[in-house]
Amino acid sequence: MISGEEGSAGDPSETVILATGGYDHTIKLWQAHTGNCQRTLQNPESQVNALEITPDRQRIAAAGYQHVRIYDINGSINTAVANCEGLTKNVTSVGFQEDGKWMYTGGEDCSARIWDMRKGSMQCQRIFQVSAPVNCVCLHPNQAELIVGDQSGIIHIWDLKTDHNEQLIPETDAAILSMAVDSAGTFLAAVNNKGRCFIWGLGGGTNDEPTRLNPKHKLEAHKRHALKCRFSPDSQMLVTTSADQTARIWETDKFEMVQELTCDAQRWVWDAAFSLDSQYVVTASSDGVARLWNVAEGSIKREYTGHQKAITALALEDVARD
Amino acid sequence: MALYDNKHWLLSHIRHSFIFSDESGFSEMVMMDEDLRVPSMKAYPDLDQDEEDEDGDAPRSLDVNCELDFGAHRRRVNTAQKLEKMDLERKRIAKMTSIKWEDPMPSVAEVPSNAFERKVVDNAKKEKVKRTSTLSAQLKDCPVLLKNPFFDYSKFDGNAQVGVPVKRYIIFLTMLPERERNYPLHVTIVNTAKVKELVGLVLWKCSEERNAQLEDESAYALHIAEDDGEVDWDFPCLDEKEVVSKFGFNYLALVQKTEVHKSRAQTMSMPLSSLGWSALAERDEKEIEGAEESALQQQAMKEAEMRMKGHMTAMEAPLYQSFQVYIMNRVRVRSAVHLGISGEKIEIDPVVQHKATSQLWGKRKAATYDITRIAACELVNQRSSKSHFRLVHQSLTEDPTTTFKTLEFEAENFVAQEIVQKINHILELRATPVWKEYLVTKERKSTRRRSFSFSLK
Repeated sequence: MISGEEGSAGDPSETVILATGGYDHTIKLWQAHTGNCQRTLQNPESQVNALEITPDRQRIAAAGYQHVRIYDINGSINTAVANCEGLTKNVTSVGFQEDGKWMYTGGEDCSARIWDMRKGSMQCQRIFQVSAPVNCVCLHPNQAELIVGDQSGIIHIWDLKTDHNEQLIPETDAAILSMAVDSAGTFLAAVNNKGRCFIWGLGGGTNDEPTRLNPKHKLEAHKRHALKCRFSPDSQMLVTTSADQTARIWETDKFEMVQELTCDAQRWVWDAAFSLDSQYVVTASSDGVARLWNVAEGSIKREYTGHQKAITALALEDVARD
Repeated sequence: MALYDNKHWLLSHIRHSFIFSDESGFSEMVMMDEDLRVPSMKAYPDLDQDEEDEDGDAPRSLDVNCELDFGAHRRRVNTAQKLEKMDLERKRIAKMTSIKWEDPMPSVAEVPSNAFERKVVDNAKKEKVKRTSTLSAQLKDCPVLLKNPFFDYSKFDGNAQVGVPVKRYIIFLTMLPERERNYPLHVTIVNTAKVKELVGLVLWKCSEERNAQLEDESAYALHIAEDDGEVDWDFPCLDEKEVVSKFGFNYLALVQKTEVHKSRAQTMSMPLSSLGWSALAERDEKEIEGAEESALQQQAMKEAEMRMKGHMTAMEAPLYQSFQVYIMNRVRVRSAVHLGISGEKIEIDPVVQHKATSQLWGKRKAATYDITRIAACELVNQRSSKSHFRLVHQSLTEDPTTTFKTLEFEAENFVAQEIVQKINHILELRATPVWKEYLVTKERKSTRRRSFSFSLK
């Protein structure tokens, strides 16, 4: 076994969590600063489409084929502790309300769902149907609006309280593959399968007003499918990943490219995440390797190898150092 | 014993008992020629269907224990394994809570809306505060992580995989100091890995767990070992390029390659390579030798292939095949005809033309030429897409001096080539007198021409 648990059974809230999952039916937890694989969780008979760590940092959810499996991060059980089923087709995205009250998922069954995580409670259970497979779902920091992007190119904004929804189409017939809202609720970014990235400024969203979207910028981010976009924690940068084997970092003022993360071995880059201080980005690629890059230099600092097949999802939970 | 009244069975039993117990081997020699093995049921009319062994090879002697026992033994183990797997599955599922999606109640009115209360997002602050990251701090603390040179081999570790067939080995590390040598390394590797990768994985584990000073992976080789750690030097080391799943040994030893390995490899390189064990010579030498050999082999194979292809075409030649070509008239007008070639004759059938002009000029009569009248067929000229070829045949005159007439055709390049090849194959096969005569005439003509040219000089 690759070097087992380092005995750093410290406070879970102190350790940096880095998880990767893909096509080899495993989810690996890494010690991010050394590159060692600490645990391998089993995810039989399904690939991992998305990974999300619960707000209390105790568990990780893996969206797969017809289910979402939840694993214990700190513990010794390498199999799922909970399995959310009753879904058909691939679940493409998963996320949590910031207090862990409910979980949201989106899938190829053309729906976005809210799962009540509290025992015995069904209060929060909701479902939102659209007319095309849902590729990505993200939650506005106000915890009350869910943004759903689908295969036909429509972005829906679903107000969870009033159940109203608005639609907008940045580009017709261009599947939305990923969306992100920054933690301050100032921007919404969406990338599509033509490699374009659209950015809106977000206004309103307080009280009961629906959030207004003001188109801010349109980027020809990549030459091929753009797979993922994510804002840095300080909202200063946006990372977009693509099938063109690169991840690009843009500053959020004029949206000019600041850095390109690429290397020969890297294939499609499926996911990326920033460290808390935005100095580092971790990417996941279909060559089975996750990489830690220094944003300023564009150089690889760590590589996480061990997956036998493509890595299609990653989750990073950094810890603030006060 | 129900079989004791079956004379065939008894006879077989007696024979086997003699062969089995006679240590001088005499009985075996005497009885060797008489093969009483009768696979059909008729030989053992008294035997039931169930008692008949599936293969006639099974010894019908009570003394000889056949491997059926083995199979039965394995079968039990298999079921035990299956039960274990099912048990594990059950335990796994038991630990896991299943959350089934339930559609929300239509009574949305009852849903307390505070479940989705909006949070006030303070975007005015714009995070001017510089965030610190534990990850960055940790990265700074261990700046240059000396990457284990064998790190690439870690991906072959079977423990890191799920659901992949793996092979487990116990490796004795002979290069370690005396004290540590007795503690072998337990290694699990994926089935699909090569021996070279197993060496790498062993070295990686060794460096990770034992902090040993190790050299490059090419300096080591794996040998079969006993369970007490003793290396079996009789066998050469495991071939680096072989896949691990081929070998059944569980105990292996990692040794440092020595001069013995290299010299042994050099002297035994030829026969070894034929056996499939690759040479352990100096890397360059092995590579060159290997490359040369494989190149020669490939050459030989290619030649054999060509020869086979040639044979095939020759064999197929007499089969009837029809081509669409153009026949050239004396007036240089071509008309489309079907040229049917078979081992017996060549037929020329005009294609029905609807244009009046071609009907006027074209050759309208169908003709058949027996193969015994065909003298030769050759390509005349080749243009970019079309070629001309000529069919020489003996004219049907009573004249003792045989005259040869020619028919000219035009066709696509490859069609023409095919036709010429086909007819020539047929001619060679049939070896008709006309063909031979034509060849002789041609020879004479060419020699005459040659002599003529000489005289000119």
